[in-house]
Amino acid sequence: MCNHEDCWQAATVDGREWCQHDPPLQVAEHSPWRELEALSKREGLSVLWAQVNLGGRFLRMEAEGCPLVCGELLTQETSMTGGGNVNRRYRWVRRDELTRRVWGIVGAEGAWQYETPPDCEACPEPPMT
Amino acid sequence: MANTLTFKTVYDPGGGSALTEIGVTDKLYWQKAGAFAYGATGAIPVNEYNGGFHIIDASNNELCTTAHAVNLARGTADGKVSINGGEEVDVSTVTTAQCLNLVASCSPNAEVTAFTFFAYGATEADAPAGLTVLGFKQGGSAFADIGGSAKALDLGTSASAATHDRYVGLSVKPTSNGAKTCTMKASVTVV
Repeated sequence: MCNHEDCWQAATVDGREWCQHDPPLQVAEHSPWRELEALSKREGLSVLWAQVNLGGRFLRMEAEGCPLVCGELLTQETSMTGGGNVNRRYRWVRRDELTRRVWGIVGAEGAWQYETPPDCEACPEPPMT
Repeated sequence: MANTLTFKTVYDPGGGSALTEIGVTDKLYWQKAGAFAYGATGAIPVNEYNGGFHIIDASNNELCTTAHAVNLARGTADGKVSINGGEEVDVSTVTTAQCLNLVASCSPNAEVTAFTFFAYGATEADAPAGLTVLGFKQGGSAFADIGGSAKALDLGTSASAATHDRYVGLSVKPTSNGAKTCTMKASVTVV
């Protein structure tokens, strides 16, 4: 059962609401988000909004007629001075507009929004605190 | 289960040579050729490449006591490498077992849309001070300078899977006297 602490949520235009952990989205071929995209295509739907939740923070993005995508950013830093490895994990939601991509990102330290060129596949990395 | 990113390399910490995760406070240590020697006695001469590669703990004790991680040193050109002090060969011949291994583990399965790796100094934008760090993606044909975020090594995309391995070879060259350090950073975007 999802408590919505660490997941994405979304709604399709038919009024259904979805969560990353919903059983119909669990397939071996790809991620739950890609399955939601496939299901939407099969049923002629589109995603109205999507929200990412992590560490008590959430960020919702409206589709505004554009495709939305949800994913994660993982980073690891290994210091040669012995300060220890630092791992960070973020969840992001992205709106793919014609001339730009708008990213909403949540992590342990906060929430951020960035814009990138429309062909950028790498999630922008929030500043370290 | 949350997605994770881990950093591994093949060495023998005493129980047999195996792909082993770099521990939370472990460090990568490059030195001149010869037996393990931490500090000035192991110092790589200025403008020369590493002759040895070790995994050490937070107290600078060698962890790879039985078999070291493979030392990759840039040869006479960016496309050449000396493996464990041997005669130089083409970079493209380096195997995965001779490289550092970055592993993105995804649960549930996910695809990688971007994967990068670089070394930095004072800030992510800065190259390490007094140290040139060269890297290549296993299968690639040449070392490239990976100092600073603008020079990040592109490790490519991959289709949906539970694990995504990337193998990286590294070589370092001090450009001035004194102890040198840097931070290695990997970033992966998954959908």
